Parts: sequence; structure tokens; C-alpha cells
Amino acid sequence: MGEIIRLEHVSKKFGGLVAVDDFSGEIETGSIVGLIGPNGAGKTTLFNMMSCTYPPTSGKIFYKGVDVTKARTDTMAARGLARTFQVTKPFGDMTVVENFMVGAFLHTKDRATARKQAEEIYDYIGMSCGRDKPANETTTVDRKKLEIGRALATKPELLLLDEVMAGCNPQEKLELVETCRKIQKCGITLVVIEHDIKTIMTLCEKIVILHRGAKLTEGTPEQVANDPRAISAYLGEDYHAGC
Amino acid sequence: MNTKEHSNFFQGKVFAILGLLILLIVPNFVDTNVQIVFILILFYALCASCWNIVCGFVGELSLGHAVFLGVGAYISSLLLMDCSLSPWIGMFIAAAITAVFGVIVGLPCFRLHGPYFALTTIALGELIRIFVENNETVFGINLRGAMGLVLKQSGNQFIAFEFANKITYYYVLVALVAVTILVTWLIKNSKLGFYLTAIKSDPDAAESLGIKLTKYKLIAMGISCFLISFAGTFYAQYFRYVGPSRIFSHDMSVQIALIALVGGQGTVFGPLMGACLLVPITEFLSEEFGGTLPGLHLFIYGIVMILVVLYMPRGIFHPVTKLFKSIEAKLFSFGKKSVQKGEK
Repeated sequence: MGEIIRLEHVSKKFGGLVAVDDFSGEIETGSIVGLIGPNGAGKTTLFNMMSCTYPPTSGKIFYKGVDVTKARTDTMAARGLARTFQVTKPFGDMTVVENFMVGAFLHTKDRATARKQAEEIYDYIGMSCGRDKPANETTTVDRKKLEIGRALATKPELLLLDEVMAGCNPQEKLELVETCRKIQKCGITLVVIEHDIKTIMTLCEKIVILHRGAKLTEGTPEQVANDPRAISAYLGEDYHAGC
Repeated sequence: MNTKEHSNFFQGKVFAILGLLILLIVPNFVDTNVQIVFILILFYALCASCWNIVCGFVGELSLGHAVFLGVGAYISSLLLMDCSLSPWIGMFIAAAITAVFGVIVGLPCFRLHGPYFALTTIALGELIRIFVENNETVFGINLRGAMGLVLKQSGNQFIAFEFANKITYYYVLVALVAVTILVTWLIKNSKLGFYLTAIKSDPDAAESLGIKLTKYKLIAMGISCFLISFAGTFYAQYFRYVGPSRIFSHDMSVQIALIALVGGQGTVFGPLMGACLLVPITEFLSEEFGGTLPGLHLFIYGIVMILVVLYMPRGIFHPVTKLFKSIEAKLFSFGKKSVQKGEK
């Protein structure tokens, strides 16, 4: 299988604050990996570096074997990396399908083709708000789906999902988990940041716990759940007992 | 069946078609003073439409667009005066140079956002104005400094872009406005339009979808400058005089931007609508009260501006079309009901 993205000793400092501290790791092609940790652990910073929003202070990032440490964000989409944002960023003036069209335009210039692909995405992702609803009038869960759909429209190989389930009710979370599984079956590698431990334990094959910018532990959900460091730093004794 | 399709096509567009017909036909039957107002309406509609292509879609406020208008006017006029080149050819050379100039200027400016972008464009406008006012010759080109360029009157000659009657100028403008609105419509319905609207909504999200922000902004800037240069050439040929203190003025830039803002940013017909509202107000008031109450037209102009910004922050285009549609629905509902009864 091989890895799709590899991080080597990546650090990010914002002035005196060390957001990510010497992080190394890789993500297997076709897998679904969970990234968890307390607030301010550096999860989103790690995402931002993987999607080349800003370069790391030190260390290197390889995407499909190519050094992309200093690549530009807009080139990463063409290479096959797409992401969603923790605070949803819909294109409010456009309709839902038009939002998807913006993503689809990455691979086509033709408006009709983009429209067709966008409508396919709309059906695929299972939205029910109406294709031509203005994006800024949609509900929280639809906005999350909009983010995923728009990223999918760029035909990615690696999809980074930043807290897509935050603010959703249990039923909606289940829907989103199903959507993630469906996306994985299409051969897209997924990295998921999430706070809901139960959801992420059932969804992911591998889990990485970040703590104060450094990797605390990684492994399968069971390994992580039984790791004493993870329990004391993040999961808590209650979760361990609950297992 | 045929008539039904017809009525569907015209539905909601009766007032738009009526308005366009007025703009096309009425100037033929009015006296010269009113024709001048019509010319000014379309001139500002043209400038505001060009402004709209870059600023309306991208959502940045350029307060220096008169620079590109002036550059276009200067180049085509200089080509006419010093090289005896017909303005019909000169305007395309001017447009190409202005587009390149716009892209070069845009390169640093588009790194800035919001008030910083607006301030930089103001600075650019003032810089160019002061430079042209104070330099007689630059690189051997005779700019004639603060005197400006005075184009010789040669009578009614098509080849020289000079006509004896106003109405011919007016129809040249109609063609230019039509081209600009067509280009705006094409952009709005293409990849470029989608990308620009996305950049306006959220640059970070747009970038994550693979949109090269600077590239698409500069393409829009190039198109906008290319078209506004035509307006510059028209200005020079119509007034027969290009003065740096007027054409490069901050007033001109602000007026262009305000008309587009009042009309409706990012819409195809908004700038035209804005010009139809604001230009007649300005002209009427300055004519009626210019002598008795000097400055009143600016005062009322300001009030209109404040009202529009307060109550229709996205421009008058959407509220006005909505109003027209509802009036139309009321006007024609009786006719439709009788048709339905007849079908039954």
C-alpha cells in the first residue's frame, strides 16, 4: 500500500508558542486515521501544515514521495489533497450545488460538466436541503456536508476532515460516519479530527493522540484506549472503566 | 403553446425590456441637452460595469479606477495627435497597454485586502495624477503636463471618431456598454465567475479548492482595464479634451465605484441600473439648483447614497427587480386568469 503522506520531525512555532513539536508520522494509503487530543494540542495546525496553508518552522512533509514542505496551498488540491474547515466556510452567495461546482471546476472548464459532477456529489453525500438552496441558509449538518462535498468535488486522494461532526446530534453523527465510510470505500484516504471519542473509536482504523504539540501515542483504537498515557492525558479514567 | 412559451420568456422581464427600449429609442426624439444626460448615463454605466468586473466580483473596493480610464484616454489621444492614428485602431492599442498596466499594478495591490487595498488604490490614483500634471515630457512622449490634451476639431469624420451630432456618439456608447455587459454575463456564467465569487466569499476556502487567488484576480483586472480603456477613448473623442485634473481625479474614481455599489456589486445589470438612478439625479439637481443653491445636488446625492447603503447594502438591483416582478404579476394576473378559463 505505502504511505500517502509522511511528516518528518515537523515543528511549528508561532512566536514563542510551540504549536507542534517534532511530530513524525505517516498515513497509509486507503486508511482512515483519527487525530485526537485536547484543545490547543496542535491538531488543526498539523492539518494546516499538511495542506500547506503555512510551512512548518522545521521538518519536512512528503506527499506521495514528493517534498511539499514549501508548496503552495492551491497546488495541493491539484495534487489530490483536499480539506474541510473546523469553522465552516461556505460560499454564502452561491447555492449548494454551485459550491460543489467551484470544487469541480478544478478539473474541467465546462460549466455543464461541472454542474453534472456537482449534482452527482449532492446525491452521493446524501443532502436533503435542496440543490438550489443558498449556502448561507443551510443548517449546521448541511454546512458540514457542504464542506465535505466541496472537497470531494476536487476528486481528492487524501481528505482531511477537521471536526466535521462537531455541533451535530447523535443521529447526524451516524449519518456522517456512514458518509466517511462510503468515501473510504471509493479509495480515498481520510484523516479525521474529532472530539467525540466513541464516534472516532468506531470509525477509525488507527488513532493518533496529540498532546501539547507532540505525539503522545498511536495505534489501533484498542491499543490507544488501553494506553495509560492516553488515559491520563486525554481519555480519562472514566473512559477506561467504560470500556 | 407557442404563445405560452413566449409569455414565460418575457415573464419578469417586461420592465427590463421596456427600460432597454427607452435607452435605445428615446434619445432620438429629445433635444440635445437631454441627449447629453443619456450619454453621461451610459458613460458612467460603462465605467461602473468595468469596475464591477474586477471589484464587484472579487469584493475589493478600488478607488483608483479612473487611472485606467485616463491611461486609455491618454494613449489613444496621443496616438491620434502625434502619430495621426485613427482612434478606432488606437483604442485597441490603448486597451491592450492599459490591460498590461492594470495587471502590473494589480500584482502588488491584490496582496492587500479591505481598507488597505482601497487606500493603496487611492494613492495610485493621486500618484498618477500628480505625475502627469507635473511632467511635460516622459521618455520623449509629449504628455503636455497640466494643460492636458486638446484634440483638434476636424468635423464630422467617422474615421477620426468624430461626429457632428450627439446621437451617433450615443450609439457608439450603446455598443460599448452592450459589449461590456455581455462580457460580464459571460464571466458570471463561467469558471472565472464562479472562482471570483468564491474568492469574494472566502479566500481561504477558495485556495484550499485549488484556486490560484492572484491569478484569477489579475485576469479579471486585465479584462476590466481593457474595457475601461474604451471608455477613456470615448471620453477623449467626445469631450475633445483630456485634462489630468479631471480624468485622473479622485472624484471620478469614487463616482465610478459608488455607481456600481449603489447599482449592485457582482450583478450583470446593476451598474447600468445604478447609473440610471444616480446620473440623472446629479444632472437634474446641478442644473436646477446649481445657480440658486450651489452644492445642493451633492447634498441630495449624499442622502440617496446613505439611504441606499443603509437599506439596500447589496445594491438596488435585487430589490428593484423584485418590485418590478411583483408589479408585473399584479398587472398581468388578470390576463392570465382569463386565458386559463378559456383553456378549460
